[in-house]
Amino acid sequence: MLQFSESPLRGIPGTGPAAVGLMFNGALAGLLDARPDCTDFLSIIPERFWQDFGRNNAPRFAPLPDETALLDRLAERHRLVAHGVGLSIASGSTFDLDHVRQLAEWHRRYDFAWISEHLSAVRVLTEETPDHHAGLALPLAWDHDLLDLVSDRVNRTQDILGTRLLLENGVVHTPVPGSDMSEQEFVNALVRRTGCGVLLDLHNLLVNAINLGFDAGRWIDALDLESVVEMHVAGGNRLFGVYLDSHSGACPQTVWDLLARTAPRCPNLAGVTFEYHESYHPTLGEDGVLDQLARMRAALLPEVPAEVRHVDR
Amino acid sequence: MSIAEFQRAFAELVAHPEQVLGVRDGDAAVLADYDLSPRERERLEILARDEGMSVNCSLYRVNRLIPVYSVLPHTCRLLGDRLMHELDGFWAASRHATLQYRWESWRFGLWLQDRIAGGHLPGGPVEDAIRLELAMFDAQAAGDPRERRRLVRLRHDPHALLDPAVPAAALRPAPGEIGVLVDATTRPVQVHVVED
Repeated sequence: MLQFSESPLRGIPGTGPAAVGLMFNGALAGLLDARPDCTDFLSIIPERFWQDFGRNNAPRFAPLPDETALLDRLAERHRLVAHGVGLSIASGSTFDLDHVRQLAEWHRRYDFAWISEHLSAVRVLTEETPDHHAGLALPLAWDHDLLDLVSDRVNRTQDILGTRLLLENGVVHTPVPGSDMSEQEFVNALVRRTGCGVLLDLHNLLVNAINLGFDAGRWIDALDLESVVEMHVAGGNRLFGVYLDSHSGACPQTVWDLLARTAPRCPNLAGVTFEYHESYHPTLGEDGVLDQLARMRAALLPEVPAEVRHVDR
Repeated sequence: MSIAEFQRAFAELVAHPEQVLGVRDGDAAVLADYDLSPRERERLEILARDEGMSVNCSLYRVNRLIPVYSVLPHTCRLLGDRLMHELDGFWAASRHATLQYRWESWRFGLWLQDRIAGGHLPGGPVEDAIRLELAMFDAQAAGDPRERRRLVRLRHDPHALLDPAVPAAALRPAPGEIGVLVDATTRPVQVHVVED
Protein backbone atom coordinates (compact mmCIF):
# COMPACT_ATOMS: atom_id res chain seq x y z
CA MET A 1 0.00 0.00 0.00
CA LEU A 2 1.33 3.43 -0.89
CA GLN A 3 1.63 5.81 2.00
CA PHE A 4 2.53 9.43 2.38
CA SER A 5 6.20 9.90 1.73
CA GLU A 6 6.44 11.99 4.86
CA SER A 7 4.22 13.32 7.58
CA PRO A 8 1.68 15.40 5.65
CA LEU A 9 1.70 18.43 7.89
CA ARG A 10 5.05 18.12 9.57
CA GLY A 11 6.37 21.15 11.36
CA ILE A 12 3.38 23.42 11.21
CA PRO A 13 2.96 25.28 14.48
CA GLY A 14 -0.34 24.76 16.19
CA THR A 15 -1.16 21.65 14.23
CA GLY A 16 -2.93 19.09 16.28
CA PRO A 17 -3.53 15.54 15.24
CA ALA A 18 -5.90 16.73 12.52
CA ALA A 19 -5.18 20.07 10.91
CA VAL A 20 -7.68 22.64 9.71
CA GLY A 21 -7.36 24.26 6.30
CA LEU A 22 -8.94 26.51 3.74
CA MET A 23 -9.69 25.92 0.11
CA PHE A 24 -7.87 28.84 -1.46
CA ASN A 25 -9.78 31.46 -3.40
CA GLY A 26 -8.73 34.93 -4.46
CA ALA A 27 -10.85 36.68 -1.84
CA LEU A 28 -8.73 35.11 0.90
CA ALA A 29 -5.59 37.03 -0.08
CA GLY A 30 -6.15 39.84 2.41
CA LEU A 31 -6.91 37.53 5.31
CA LEU A 32 -3.90 35.33 4.56
CA ASP A 33 -1.66 38.40 4.46
CA ALA A 34 -2.97 39.67 7.77
CA ARG A 35 -3.36 36.34 9.53
CA PRO A 36 -1.16 33.73 7.84
CA ASP A 37 -1.35 31.59 10.97
CA CYS A 38 -5.13 31.30 10.89
CA THR A 39 -4.97 28.11 8.83
CA ASP A 40 -2.72 25.06 9.08
CA PHE A 41 -2.73 24.48 5.34
CA LEU A 42 -4.17 25.74 2.08
CA SER A 43 -5.85 23.47 -0.39
CA ILE A 44 -5.41 24.63 -3.97
CA ILE A 45 -6.98 23.53 -7.23
CA PRO A 46 -3.94 22.94 -9.46
CA GLU A 47 -5.88 23.30 -12.72
CA ARG A 48 -6.51 26.96 -11.84
CA PHE A 49 -2.79 27.65 -12.11
CA TRP A 50 -2.00 26.26 -15.55
CA GLN A 51 -3.32 26.32 -19.07
CA ASP A 52 -4.07 23.06 -20.82
CA PHE A 53 -3.70 23.29 -24.59
CA GLY A 54 -5.17 19.82 -25.15
CA ARG A 55 -3.85 16.30 -25.60
CA ASN A 56 -2.42 16.73 -29.05
CA ASN A 57 -0.47 19.90 -28.40
CA ALA A 58 3.15 20.30 -27.41
CA PRO A 59 3.83 21.73 -25.00
CA ARG A 60 0.58 20.55 -23.53
CA PHE A 61 0.60 22.63 -20.34
CA ALA A 62 1.82 26.12 -19.50
CA PRO A 63 1.72 27.78 -16.11
CA LEU A 64 -0.41 30.91 -15.84
CA PRO A 65 2.20 33.49 -14.81
CA ASP A 66 0.22 35.67 -12.43
CA GLU A 67 -1.47 32.73 -10.78
CA THR A 68 1.77 30.78 -10.45
CA ALA A 69 3.54 33.78 -8.90
CA LEU A 70 0.72 33.93 -6.38
CA LEU A 71 1.05 30.22 -5.70
CA ASP A 72 4.79 30.60 -5.13
CA ARG A 73 4.11 33.31 -2.57
CA LEU A 74 1.50 31.17 -0.84
CA ALA A 75 3.86 28.21 -0.74
CA GLU A 76 6.44 30.30 1.12
CA ARG A 77 4.08 30.66 4.08
CA HIS A 78 1.68 27.76 3.89
CA ARG A 79 1.74 24.01 3.50
CA LEU A 80 -0.19 23.23 0.34
CA VAL A 81 -2.61 20.45 -0.46
CA ALA A 82 -3.62 19.72 -4.05
CA HIS A 83 -7.29 19.19 -4.83
CA GLY A 84 -7.73 18.33 -8.50
CA VAL A 85 -10.95 18.84 -10.38
CA GLY A 86 -10.14 17.74 -13.92
CA LEU A 87 -8.81 14.18 -13.92
CA SER A 88 -12.20 12.56 -14.52
CA ILE A 89 -10.95 9.25 -13.22
CA ALA A 90 -14.32 7.50 -13.58
CA SER A 91 -14.88 8.55 -17.16
CA GLY A 92 -15.37 5.90 -19.82
CA SER A 93 -13.18 8.01 -22.07
CA THR A 94 -9.46 7.46 -22.57
CA PHE A 95 -7.57 8.09 -19.36
CA ASP A 96 -5.41 11.21 -19.41
CA LEU A 97 -2.04 10.11 -18.09
CA ASP A 98 -0.39 13.36 -19.18
CA HIS A 99 -2.69 15.18 -16.80
CA VAL A 100 -1.43 12.90 -14.03
CA ARG A 101 2.18 13.55 -15.03
CA GLN A 102 1.55 17.28 -14.92
CA LEU A 103 0.13 16.89 -11.44
CA ALA A 104 3.20 14.87 -10.46
CA GLU A 105 5.46 17.62 -11.76
CA TRP A 106 3.67 20.15 -9.60
CA HIS A 107 3.86 17.79 -6.64
CA ARG A 108 7.64 17.76 -7.05
CA ARG A 109 7.58 21.55 -7.21
CA TYR A 110 5.28 22.25 -4.25
CA ASP A 111 5.58 19.11 -2.14
CA PHE A 112 1.86 18.86 -1.51
CA ALA A 113 0.95 17.43 1.88
CA TRP A 114 -1.48 15.18 0.04
CA ILE A 115 -3.26 15.04 -3.29
CA SER A 116 -6.96 14.51 -3.82
CA GLU A 117 -9.30 14.28 -6.75
CA HIS A 118 -12.98 13.61 -7.31
CA LEU A 119 -14.41 10.17 -7.80
CA SER A 120 -16.20 11.48 -10.83
CA ALA A 121 -16.62 11.57 -14.58
CA VAL A 122 -16.75 14.94 -16.30
CA ARG A 123 -15.05 14.14 -19.60
CA VAL A 124 -16.99 12.41 -22.34
CA LEU A 125 -15.71 10.59 -25.38
CA THR A 126 -17.23 12.07 -28.54
CA GLU A 127 -16.48 11.70 -32.23
CA GLU A 128 -14.15 14.69 -31.98
CA THR A 129 -12.40 14.37 -28.66
CA PRO A 130 -11.92 12.19 -25.61
CA ASP A 131 -12.24 15.31 -23.49
CA HIS A 132 -15.63 16.84 -24.21
CA HIS A 133 -16.64 18.41 -20.90
CA ALA A 134 -20.05 17.21 -19.79
CA GLY A 135 -20.71 20.45 -17.90
CA LEU A 136 -21.32 18.60 -14.65
CA ALA A 137 -20.21 15.48 -12.83
CA LEU A 138 -22.11 12.59 -14.38
CA PRO A 139 -23.96 10.16 -12.13
CA LEU A 140 -22.01 6.94 -11.76
CA ALA A 141 -23.28 3.38 -11.77
CA TRP A 142 -21.52 1.62 -8.89
CA ASP A 143 -20.89 -1.47 -10.97
CA HIS A 144 -18.11 -4.04 -11.08
CA ASP A 145 -16.87 -2.88 -14.49
CA LEU A 146 -16.48 0.69 -13.23
CA LEU A 147 -14.65 -0.61 -10.16
CA ASP A 148 -12.21 -2.46 -12.40
CA LEU A 149 -11.70 0.62 -14.55
CA VAL A 150 -11.17 3.04 -11.67
CA SER A 151 -8.98 0.63 -9.68
CA ASP A 152 -6.57 0.33 -12.58
CA ARG A 153 -6.46 4.10 -13.01
CA VAL A 154 -5.94 4.79 -9.32
CA ASN A 155 -3.03 2.35 -9.28
CA ARG A 156 -1.44 3.99 -12.30
CA THR A 157 -2.04 7.46 -10.87
CA GLN A 158 -0.45 6.58 -7.53
CA ASP A 159 2.53 5.04 -9.31
CA ILE A 160 3.10 8.26 -11.24
CA LEU A 161 2.45 10.57 -8.30
CA GLY A 162 4.53 8.47 -5.94
CA THR A 163 1.99 9.02 -3.22
CA ARG A 164 -1.46 7.99 -2.18
CA LEU A 165 -4.42 9.54 -3.97
CA LEU A 166 -7.50 10.59 -2.06
CA LEU A 167 -10.86 10.43 -3.80
CA GLU A 168 -13.84 12.58 -2.89
CA ASN A 169 -17.49 11.53 -2.76
CA GLY A 170 -19.62 13.64 -5.04
CA VAL A 171 -23.05 15.19 -5.37
CA VAL A 172 -25.68 13.45 -7.44
CA HIS A 173 -29.16 14.69 -8.29
CA THR A 174 -30.14 11.60 -10.29
CA PRO A 175 -28.64 8.41 -8.87
CA VAL A 176 -28.24 5.61 -11.38
CA PRO A 177 -30.77 2.88 -10.56
CA GLY A 178 -29.83 -0.74 -10.03
CA SER A 179 -26.10 -0.46 -9.34
CA ASP A 180 -24.23 -3.66 -8.47
CA MET A 181 -23.27 -2.23 -5.09
CA SER A 182 -23.74 0.83 -2.91
CA GLU A 183 -21.44 3.84 -3.21
CA GLN A 184 -19.80 2.98 0.12
CA GLU A 185 -19.25 -0.64 -0.95
CA PHE A 186 -17.67 0.66 -4.13
CA VAL A 187 -15.36 3.04 -2.26
CA ASN A 188 -14.42 0.44 0.34
CA ALA A 189 -13.54 -2.03 -2.41
CA LEU A 190 -11.54 0.62 -4.23
CA VAL A 191 -9.55 1.33 -1.07
CA ARG A 192 -8.88 -2.37 -0.54
CA ARG A 193 -7.72 -2.85 -4.12
CA THR A 194 -5.55 0.23 -4.45
CA GLY A 195 -4.68 1.59 -1.03
CA CYS A 196 -6.12 4.96 -2.01
CA GLY A 197 -7.61 7.21 0.64
CA VAL A 198 -10.95 8.92 0.97
CA LEU A 199 -11.76 12.60 1.06
CA LEU A 200 -15.10 12.59 2.80
CA ASP A 201 -16.99 15.71 1.76
CA LEU A 202 -19.57 16.11 4.47
CA HIS A 203 -21.48 18.80 2.63
CA ASN A 204 -21.71 16.77 -0.56
CA LEU A 205 -23.07 13.96 1.57
CA LEU A 206 -25.57 16.29 3.22
CA VAL A 207 -26.75 17.55 -0.18
CA ASN A 208 -27.41 14.01 -1.32
CA ALA A 209 -29.05 13.06 1.99
CA ILE A 210 -31.45 16.02 1.81
CA ASN A 211 -32.33 15.73 -1.87
CA LEU A 212 -32.45 11.95 -2.06
CA GLY A 213 -33.90 11.37 1.39
CA PHE A 214 -31.43 9.20 3.24
CA ASP A 215 -29.65 9.36 6.58
CA ALA A 216 -26.13 10.80 6.24
CA GLY A 217 -25.03 9.23 9.51
CA ARG A 218 -26.01 5.75 8.34
CA TRP A 219 -24.25 6.39 5.05
CA ILE A 220 -21.06 7.15 6.96
CA ASP A 221 -21.51 4.03 9.11
CA ALA A 222 -21.11 1.90 5.99
CA LEU A 223 -17.83 3.55 4.99
CA ASP A 224 -14.43 2.22 6.01
CA LEU A 225 -13.49 5.18 8.19
CA GLU A 226 -9.86 4.12 8.44
CA SER A 227 -9.55 5.21 4.82
CA VAL A 228 -10.67 8.80 5.49
CA VAL A 229 -7.67 11.14 5.35
CA GLU A 230 -9.39 14.47 4.70
CA MET A 231 -12.83 15.94 5.15
CA HIS A 232 -14.42 18.89 3.41
CA VAL A 233 -17.00 21.12 5.05
CA ALA A 234 -19.01 23.83 3.30
CA GLY A 235 -22.35 25.57 3.10
CA GLY A 236 -25.11 25.51 0.52
CA ASN A 237 -28.48 26.98 -0.27
CA ARG A 238 -31.85 26.06 -1.68
CA LEU A 239 -33.07 26.90 -5.13
CA PHE A 240 -36.50 25.85 -6.36
CA GLY A 241 -36.75 23.33 -3.55
CA VAL A 242 -33.39 21.69 -4.23
CA TYR A 243 -30.50 21.95 -1.82
CA LEU A 244 -27.33 22.81 -3.72
CA ASP A 245 -23.63 22.39 -3.04
CA SER A 246 -23.08 26.05 -3.77
CA HIS A 247 -20.34 26.73 -1.22
CA SER A 248 -22.37 29.77 -0.30
CA GLY A 249 -20.85 30.55 3.08
CA ALA A 250 -20.99 29.18 6.60
CA CYS A 251 -21.57 25.48 7.20
CA PRO A 252 -25.02 24.47 8.37
CA GLN A 253 -25.29 22.97 11.85
CA THR A 254 -25.82 19.50 10.39
CA VAL A 255 -22.33 19.60 8.88
CA TRP A 256 -20.83 20.50 12.24
CA ASP A 257 -22.76 17.68 13.86
CA LEU A 258 -21.53 15.23 11.23
CA LEU A 259 -17.96 16.46 11.67
CA ALA A 260 -18.05 16.16 15.46
CA ARG A 261 -19.55 12.69 15.26
CA THR A 262 -17.36 11.34 12.47
CA ALA A 263 -13.90 12.85 12.97
CA PRO A 264 -13.16 10.93 16.19
CA ARG A 265 -13.93 7.70 14.35
CA CYS A 266 -11.40 8.38 11.59
CA PRO A 267 -8.00 7.31 12.96
CA ASN A 268 -6.10 8.52 9.89
CA LEU A 269 -7.77 11.88 9.50
CA ALA A 270 -5.06 14.40 8.63
CA GLY A 271 -7.04 17.53 7.82
CA VAL A 272 -10.42 19.20 7.51
CA THR A 273 -10.91 21.87 4.86
CA PHE A 274 -13.50 24.64 4.68
CA GLU A 275 -14.60 25.57 1.17
CA TYR A 276 -16.56 28.60 0.05
CA HIS A 277 -16.92 30.36 -3.27
CA GLU A 278 -15.27 33.75 -3.41
CA SER A 279 -18.41 35.40 -4.74
CA TYR A 280 -19.88 34.84 -1.26
CA HIS A 281 -16.95 36.49 0.49
CA PRO A 282 -18.72 39.84 0.94
CA THR A 283 -21.45 38.19 2.98
CA LEU A 284 -19.22 35.73 4.82
CA GLY A 285 -16.40 38.20 5.51
CA GLU A 286 -13.01 37.55 7.02
CA ASP A 287 -14.49 37.26 10.50
CA GLY A 288 -16.86 34.67 9.13
CA VAL A 289 -13.97 32.65 7.71
CA LEU A 290 -12.14 32.85 11.03
CA ASP A 291 -15.29 31.73 12.80
CA GLN A 292 -15.56 28.66 10.55
CA LEU A 293 -11.93 27.79 11.28
CA ALA A 294 -12.54 28.15 15.00
CA ARG A 295 -15.57 25.89 14.79
CA MET A 296 -13.55 23.31 12.89
CA ARG A 297 -10.86 23.33 15.55
CA ALA A 298 -13.48 23.01 18.26
CA ALA A 299 -15.10 20.08 16.50
CA LEU A 300 -11.76 18.32 16.27
CA LEU A 301 -10.75 18.93 19.86
CA PRO A 302 -12.54 16.05 21.59
CA GLU A 303 -10.59 13.58 23.54
CA VAL A 304 -9.34 11.30 20.82
CA PRO A 305 -5.89 9.97 21.67
CA ALA A 306 -3.36 11.74 19.50
CA GLU A 307 -1.53 8.56 18.61
CA VAL A 308 -4.45 7.19 16.61
CA ARG A 309 -4.77 10.18 14.33
CA HIS A 310 -1.34 10.11 12.74
CA VAL A 311 -1.19 8.98 9.16
CA ASP A 312 0.66 5.73 8.65
CA ARG A 313 4.13 6.02 7.27
CA MET B 1 -17.00 1.15 -24.51
CA SER B 2 -20.28 0.66 -22.75
CA ILE B 3 -19.47 2.98 -19.85
CA ALA B 4 -18.32 5.60 -22.34
CA GLU B 5 -21.52 5.30 -24.37
CA PHE B 6 -23.74 5.50 -21.31
CA GLN B 7 -21.94 8.63 -20.18
CA ARG B 8 -22.04 10.18 -23.63
CA ALA B 9 -25.77 9.57 -23.88
CA PHE B 10 -26.42 11.01 -20.44
CA ALA B 11 -24.32 14.09 -21.18
CA GLU B 12 -26.28 14.68 -24.38
CA LEU B 13 -29.55 14.46 -22.49
CA VAL B 14 -28.38 17.00 -19.94
CA ALA B 15 -27.25 19.37 -22.67
CA HIS B 16 -30.52 19.01 -24.57
CA PRO B 17 -33.57 19.14 -22.29
CA GLU B 18 -35.83 18.54 -25.29
CA GLN B 19 -34.26 15.10 -25.61
CA VAL B 20 -35.10 14.42 -21.97
CA LEU B 21 -38.71 15.23 -22.76
CA GLY B 22 -38.46 12.99 -25.81
CA VAL B 23 -37.34 10.03 -23.71
CA ARG B 24 -40.08 10.75 -21.20
CA ASP B 25 -42.59 10.70 -24.03
CA GLY B 26 -41.31 7.33 -25.22
CA ASP B 27 -39.45 8.55 -28.31
CA ALA B 28 -37.08 5.62 -28.93
CA ALA B 29 -35.17 7.59 -31.55
CA VAL B 30 -33.47 9.75 -28.90
CA LEU B 31 -31.30 6.89 -27.65
CA ALA B 32 -31.27 4.85 -30.84
CA ASP B 33 -27.79 5.84 -32.01
CA TYR B 34 -25.94 4.87 -28.85
CA ASP B 35 -24.27 1.50 -28.37
CA LEU B 36 -26.05 0.72 -25.11
CA SER B 37 -26.84 -2.50 -23.33
CA PRO B 38 -30.51 -3.07 -22.46
CA ARG B 39 -29.64 -2.36 -18.82
CA GLU B 40 -28.04 0.97 -19.70
CA ARG B 41 -30.93 1.95 -21.95
CA GLU B 42 -33.39 1.20 -19.17
CA ARG B 43 -31.31 3.19 -16.70
CA LEU B 44 -31.29 6.21 -18.99
CA GLU B 45 -35.05 5.98 -19.45
CA ILE B 46 -35.50 5.95 -15.67
CA LEU B 47 -33.03 8.80 -15.21
CA ALA B 48 -34.81 10.92 -17.80
CA ARG B 49 -38.00 10.63 -15.76
CA ASP B 50 -36.20 11.55 -12.53
CA GLU B 51 -37.20 14.99 -11.18
CA GLY B 52 -33.50 15.70 -10.55
CA MET B 53 -32.93 15.83 -14.29
CA SER B 54 -34.10 19.44 -14.35
CA VAL B 55 -31.42 20.26 -11.78
CA ASN B 56 -28.80 18.57 -13.95
CA CYS B 57 -29.90 20.55 -16.98
CA SER B 58 -29.73 23.81 -15.02
CA LEU B 59 -26.31 23.03 -13.55
CA TYR B 60 -25.02 22.23 -17.03
CA ARG B 61 -26.00 25.69 -18.24
CA VAL B 62 -24.60 27.46 -15.21
CA ASN B 63 -21.31 25.57 -15.36
CA ARG B 64 -20.86 26.28 -19.04
CA LEU B 65 -21.74 29.94 -18.60
CA ILE B 66 -19.17 30.52 -15.86
CA PRO B 67 -15.99 30.38 -18.00
CA VAL B 68 -17.52 32.55 -20.69
CA TYR B 69 -18.83 35.12 -18.25
CA SER B 70 -15.55 35.16 -16.30
CA VAL B 71 -13.54 36.18 -19.36
CA LEU B 72 -16.19 38.13 -21.31
CA PRO B 73 -18.38 39.79 -18.67
CA HIS B 74 -18.95 43.00 -20.63
CA THR B 75 -19.57 41.15 -23.87
CA CYS B 76 -22.24 39.17 -22.04
CA ARG B 77 -23.68 42.34 -20.52
CA LEU B 78 -23.81 44.14 -23.85
CA LEU B 79 -25.48 41.15 -25.53
CA GLY B 80 -28.34 41.65 -23.09
CA ASP B 81 -31.39 39.58 -23.97
CA ARG B 82 -29.53 37.98 -26.88
CA LEU B 83 -27.01 36.29 -24.60
CA MET B 84 -28.89 33.06 -23.90
CA HIS B 85 -29.91 32.63 -27.51
CA GLU B 86 -26.30 32.96 -28.61
CA LEU B 87 -25.07 30.62 -25.87
CA ASP B 88 -27.66 28.01 -26.83
CA GLY B 89 -26.52 28.19 -30.43
CA PHE B 90 -22.86 28.02 -29.44
CA TRP B 91 -23.37 25.05 -27.14
CA ALA B 92 -25.44 23.20 -29.72
CA ALA B 93 -22.69 23.66 -32.31
CA SER B 94 -19.82 22.84 -29.96
CA ARG B 95 -18.75 19.22 -29.89
CA HIS B 96 -15.66 19.86 -27.83
CA ALA B 97 -16.65 21.73 -24.70
CA THR B 98 -14.00 22.62 -22.20
CA LEU B 99 -14.17 24.40 -18.91
CA GLN B 100 -10.71 25.83 -19.58
CA TYR B 101 -11.68 29.46 -19.34
CA ARG B 102 -9.40 30.72 -22.11
CA TRP B 103 -10.44 28.23 -24.77
CA GLU B 104 -14.11 28.25 -24.00
CA SER B 105 -14.26 32.05 -24.08
CA TRP B 106 -12.14 32.21 -27.24
CA ARG B 107 -14.49 29.82 -28.96
CA PHE B 108 -17.51 31.79 -27.87
CA GLY B 109 -15.84 35.02 -28.98
CA LEU B 110 -15.11 33.52 -32.41
CA TRP B 111 -18.66 32.20 -32.59
CA LEU B 112 -20.01 35.68 -31.95
CA GLN B 113 -17.66 37.24 -34.49
CA ASP B 114 -18.82 34.74 -37.10
CA ARG B 115 -22.41 35.53 -36.24
CA ILE B 116 -21.72 39.25 -36.61
CA ALA B 117 -19.88 38.72 -39.91
CA GLY B 118 -22.81 36.65 -41.16
CA GLY B 119 -25.28 39.38 -40.32
CA HIS B 120 -27.02 37.28 -37.66
CA LEU B 121 -26.02 39.53 -34.81
CA PRO B 122 -25.43 43.29 -34.64
CA GLY B 123 -21.78 44.20 -34.15
CA GLY B 124 -20.97 47.61 -32.74
CA PRO B 125 -20.19 47.64 -29.03
CA VAL B 126 -20.41 43.85 -28.74
CA GLU B 127 -17.78 43.37 -31.41
CA ASP B 128 -15.44 45.81 -29.69
CA ALA B 129 -16.07 44.28 -26.27
CA ILE B 130 -15.12 40.82 -27.57
CA ARG B 131 -11.88 42.14 -29.05
CA LEU B 132 -10.99 44.12 -25.94
CA GLU B 133 -11.80 41.47 -23.36
CA LEU B 134 -10.02 38.68 -25.21
CA ALA B 135 -6.95 40.93 -25.53
CA MET B 136 -7.11 41.67 -21.79
CA PHE B 137 -7.32 38.00 -20.91
CA ASP B 138 -4.59 37.02 -23.35
CA ALA B 139 -2.24 39.69 -22.08
CA GLN B 140 -2.71 38.49 -18.51
CA ALA B 141 -2.13 34.87 -19.51
CA ALA B 142 1.09 35.56 -21.43
CA GLY B 143 4.24 34.16 -19.86
CA ASP B 144 6.61 36.36 -21.85
CA PRO B 145 6.62 39.89 -20.38
CA ARG B 146 6.93 41.32 -23.90
CA GLU B 147 3.56 39.79 -24.75
CA ARG B 148 1.79 41.30 -21.79
CA ARG B 149 1.01 44.47 -23.71
CA ARG B 150 -1.45 44.32 -26.59
CA LEU B 151 -2.67 46.92 -29.04
CA VAL B 152 -6.22 46.70 -30.35
CA ARG B 153 -8.26 49.02 -32.55
CA LEU B 154 -11.83 49.79 -31.53
CA ARG B 155 -14.69 52.00 -32.67
CA HIS B 156 -15.93 52.68 -29.13
CA ASP B 157 -14.33 54.25 -26.10
CA PRO B 158 -12.80 51.33 -24.13
CA HIS B 159 -13.57 52.82 -20.73
CA ALA B 160 -17.23 53.15 -21.65
CA LEU B 161 -17.26 49.54 -22.88
CA LEU B 162 -15.90 48.39 -19.53
CA ASP B 163 -18.23 50.56 -17.45
CA PRO B 164 -21.14 48.46 -16.18
CA ALA B 165 -23.12 51.66 -15.63
CA VAL B 166 -23.14 52.45 -19.34
CA PRO B 167 -25.86 50.52 -21.15
CA ALA B 168 -25.32 49.24 -24.67
CA ALA B 169 -27.84 51.71 -26.08
CA ALA B 170 -25.81 54.64 -24.76
CA LEU B 171 -22.61 53.60 -26.52
CA ARG B 172 -21.90 55.57 -29.68
CA PRO B 173 -19.12 54.85 -32.15
CA ALA B 174 -16.23 57.27 -32.39
CA PRO B 175 -15.67 59.14 -35.68
CA GLY B 176 -12.63 56.98 -36.36
CA GLU B 177 -10.77 54.01 -34.96
CA ILE B 178 -9.34 54.30 -31.46
CA GLY B 179 -5.97 52.75 -30.66
CA VAL B 180 -6.10 51.00 -27.29
CA LEU B 181 -3.15 49.65 -25.34
CA VAL B 182 -3.89 46.76 -23.01
CA ASP B 183 -1.14 46.61 -20.40
CA ALA B 184 -0.92 43.56 -18.14
CA THR B 185 2.61 44.27 -16.93
CA THR B 186 0.97 45.72 -13.83
CA ARG B 187 -1.97 44.48 -11.81
CA PRO B 188 -4.78 45.03 -12.34
CA VAL B 189 -4.55 45.17 -16.11
CA GLN B 190 -4.63 48.74 -17.47
CA VAL B 191 -6.38 50.00 -20.60
CA HIS B 192 -5.11 53.20 -22.24
CA VAL B 193 -6.23 55.12 -25.30
CA VAL B 194 -3.14 55.83 -27.38
CA GLU B 195 -2.45 58.32 -30.12
CA ASP B 196 -1.54 56.96 -33.52
